[in-house]
Amino acid sequence: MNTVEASLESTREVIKAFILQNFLPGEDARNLTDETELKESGVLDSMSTLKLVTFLEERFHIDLEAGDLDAANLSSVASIARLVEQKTKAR
Amino acid sequence: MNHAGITAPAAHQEAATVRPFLPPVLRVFLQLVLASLIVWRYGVEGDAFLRIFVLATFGFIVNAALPRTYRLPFFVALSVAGIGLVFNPIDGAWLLISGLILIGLASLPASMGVRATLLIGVAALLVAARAGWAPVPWSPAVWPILGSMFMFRLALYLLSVKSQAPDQRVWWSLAYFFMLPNLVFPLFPVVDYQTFRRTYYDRDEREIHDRGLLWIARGLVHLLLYRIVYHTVVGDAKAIVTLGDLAQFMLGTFLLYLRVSGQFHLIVGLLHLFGFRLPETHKLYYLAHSFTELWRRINIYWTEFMMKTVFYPTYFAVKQRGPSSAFVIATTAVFLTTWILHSYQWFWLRGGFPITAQDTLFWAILGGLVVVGGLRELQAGKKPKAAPQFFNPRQGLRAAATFSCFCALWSLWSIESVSLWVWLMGAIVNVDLKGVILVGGALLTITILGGTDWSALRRTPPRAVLVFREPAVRALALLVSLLALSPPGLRAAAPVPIAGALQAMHTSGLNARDLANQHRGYYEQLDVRAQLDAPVAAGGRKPDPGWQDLSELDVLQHRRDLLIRDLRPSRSTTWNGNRFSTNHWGMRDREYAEAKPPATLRIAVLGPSHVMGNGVGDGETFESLVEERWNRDVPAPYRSIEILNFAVDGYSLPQQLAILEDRVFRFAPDLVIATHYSSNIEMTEGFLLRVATESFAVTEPELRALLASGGLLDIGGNGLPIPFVWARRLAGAAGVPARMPFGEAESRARRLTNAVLEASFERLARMTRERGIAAAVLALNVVLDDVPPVPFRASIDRAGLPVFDLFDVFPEARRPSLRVSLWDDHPNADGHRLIAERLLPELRAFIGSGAIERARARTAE
Repeated sequence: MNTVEASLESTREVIKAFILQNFLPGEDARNLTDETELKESGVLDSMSTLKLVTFLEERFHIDLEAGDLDAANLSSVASIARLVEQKTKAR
Repeated sequence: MNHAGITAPAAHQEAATVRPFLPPVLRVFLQLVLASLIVWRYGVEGDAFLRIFVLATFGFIVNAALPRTYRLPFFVALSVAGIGLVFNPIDGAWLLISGLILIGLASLPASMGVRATLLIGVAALLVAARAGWAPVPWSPAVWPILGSMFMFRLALYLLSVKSQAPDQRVWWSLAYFFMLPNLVFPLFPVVDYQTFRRTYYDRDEREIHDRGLLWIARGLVHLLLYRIVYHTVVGDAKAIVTLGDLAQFMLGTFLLYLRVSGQFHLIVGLLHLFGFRLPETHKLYYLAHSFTELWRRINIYWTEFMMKTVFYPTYFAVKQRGPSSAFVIATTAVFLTTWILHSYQWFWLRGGFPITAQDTLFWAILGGLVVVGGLRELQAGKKPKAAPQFFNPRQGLRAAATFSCFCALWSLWSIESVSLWVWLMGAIVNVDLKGVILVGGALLTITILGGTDWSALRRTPPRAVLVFREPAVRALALLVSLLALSPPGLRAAAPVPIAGALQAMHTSGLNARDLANQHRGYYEQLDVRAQLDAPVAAGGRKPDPGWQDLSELDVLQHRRDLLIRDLRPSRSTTWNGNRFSTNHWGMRDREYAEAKPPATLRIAVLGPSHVMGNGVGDGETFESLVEERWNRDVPAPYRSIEILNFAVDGYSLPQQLAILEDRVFRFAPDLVIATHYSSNIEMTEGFLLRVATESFAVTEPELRALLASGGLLDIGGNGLPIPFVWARRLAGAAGVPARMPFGEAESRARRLTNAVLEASFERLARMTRERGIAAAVLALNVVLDDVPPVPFRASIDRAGLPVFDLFDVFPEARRPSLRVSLWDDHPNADGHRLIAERLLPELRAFIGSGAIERARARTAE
């Protein structure tokens, strides 16, 4: 695993932990994979999206915009991590 | 559903539990054929939808056989073929050309600013044309579909087109705007362009097809349930007296949304058949636990559209104010936009741009509730997942509370005026058994269903229902059930309430309330697709520009008494191509002497427009024909027959009695015939309202007493419209002049109508009996599409009045040819001939039975 992959992995774990703690309390962590569909399963609705945005901005020191909140960017832990990585690089 | 979970089994896992016995594509095709049969048997959504559904059924099998690369172009070709099936060639060509121009402008290789400016220019031209300020080369049927295709999707397309992948770009654009189901459903989900592309065949084909089929089956169930609700549950708001009436009205009004959810299920289901795995629509929306959840569930497409175009941009623009403030501002912006866009949608689908008080209140209250609920959700974290629990009473109660509030809110949105809604709330205090059962039953049902964790049940289903986890089996079960309920024989054999519901499932027209009131809720009025189905509907019923209403001729004169209006004497004019003349007594008839000639049988006929002879020439009315034919063979002891026509356009039964008292008796009739018809109820209601609100002098003591008992005497005057007598008294005591709001007066008039009609039949019998005159009731409608029973038949019988029942005089097959025109249901000359042919033998038999002599003898006694 190179540095980039390690960083992505770390980002994924942070996001996963936040989602489990805030939106799926009590859920078995093994059920939330990197590719679990978050929008369609109802885990991420408009309210939880706002909480997630606030968390991502504070935790990773990035600025998100309205256009970043496409369904494609928020569909899974992996896609959110990719968005964070892009924003971090562009900082 | 209690809360979101991520362990629910996916559909393809469910499917694995049942071994397929047919190739999947063939199985789906056969089920679609079954669904087509249901669409045909029930007449679901009209002929145009049947054509599109059959096209989609056969298109599905071709699409499934094609390599993936050709499927998108095939979908576009199918949609273009659909245009040919729904529209005439000229309209279809214009729809296609206009659409291509709009798509072309939106896809130009230019900056967003240039493309947006060009589109705004074209949109301005289209707005002018839609508003009727500029001519267009297509018929009105094109507008709702053209508007529906582009009014929202164009914005989403513009936002996304820049970043779209290059493969098959043209086909994607065409498929996105020309979606096959959109040709018959103007009220269409606002499908996001990126989602449209992203979800295309992104799962196993079989799973997508099965899901689509299930949603089609669900959609059919929703639409047929809607018909039951529309025709048997939703009552007349103005007739509400008790808690039971109010609960029935509110439940019914909210349940009417089944129409929209049914249509959306059909739309999304049909799109699934061609690989577009769009999000599930209207998911258990009646069981939402909060307003924010209801807002998301009731139309996920609109919610996502608003999130993308309004909420997130606003939120990010003001987020420096803090999350809570930004949320409130962004949510307010969403509801303000939604409110305006609903009127914008109305403009494209129906023309006009209505902003009503109830519309404004509805969106303001809903917005406020969503803001409060959203803030609570933002501030409170989700609770830890509890151990598997099939029923959570707290969640159930929340669902019941949300449902109740939304029932009330929805009824406000659907009603004619805010003051009428406030007045209706007064019925809450009139608790009755029906109210207790309805309110209790509804709340209990929603509590149980809303508190049940359906996802937990799905995870561990009882073995007996394991097979029903597969969408294809569920769809098949629904389709077979619907087909099994369709045979007419079943309706004939079923007990009355069930037969009524089964009949309603087959009834596609307006219910009695809407026919009478011509007022429907927001979504019912947006059901404009009828314009495409038959020339008789909507646009086809619009009168020719030169068509004249009687009020435009100098024939009617207005009066400030219980007649309200009558015919001017000695007039002769041409009315819509027919000679219309009145004699010097003001009857639409030939001249008669006031004194009855010796040995003459004189009959006075009272009635409304179809007795007066709207749409036929002088001498073509049924009473003239009966008089002429009867005089060829006059029964002894008479030497001649005279039938005097005292009918006046728009006369209700009380007005017929008013003219009877005013002038008929001096002509010494031997028989008086009053006309009773289906809309006599609404006409009487209108009469009472007019008398009350315009403060006509009511000298007739019985009617005066009835008006007083209904609170409709002396209600006129100026002042603030305040519902309820006690509130007006309070206002008066505080020095604020108050009057009864129109909605309350309408409701009071509706409540009083039955009593007034019953009293009118009694009075007709009494007035004629006292004078030794025979009396009868002629039951006769205009040329309606069906033959309803004669209303108030028991009251007529109680009054001892014989009835000439001619409600079935117009044979079903001949009805279209017996109407004056497509837009005028009055019988034409052929219709009047039919009436005369039926009435003459009945009159002969009546006179032959000695009815005239018996009436004279009663007075002598």
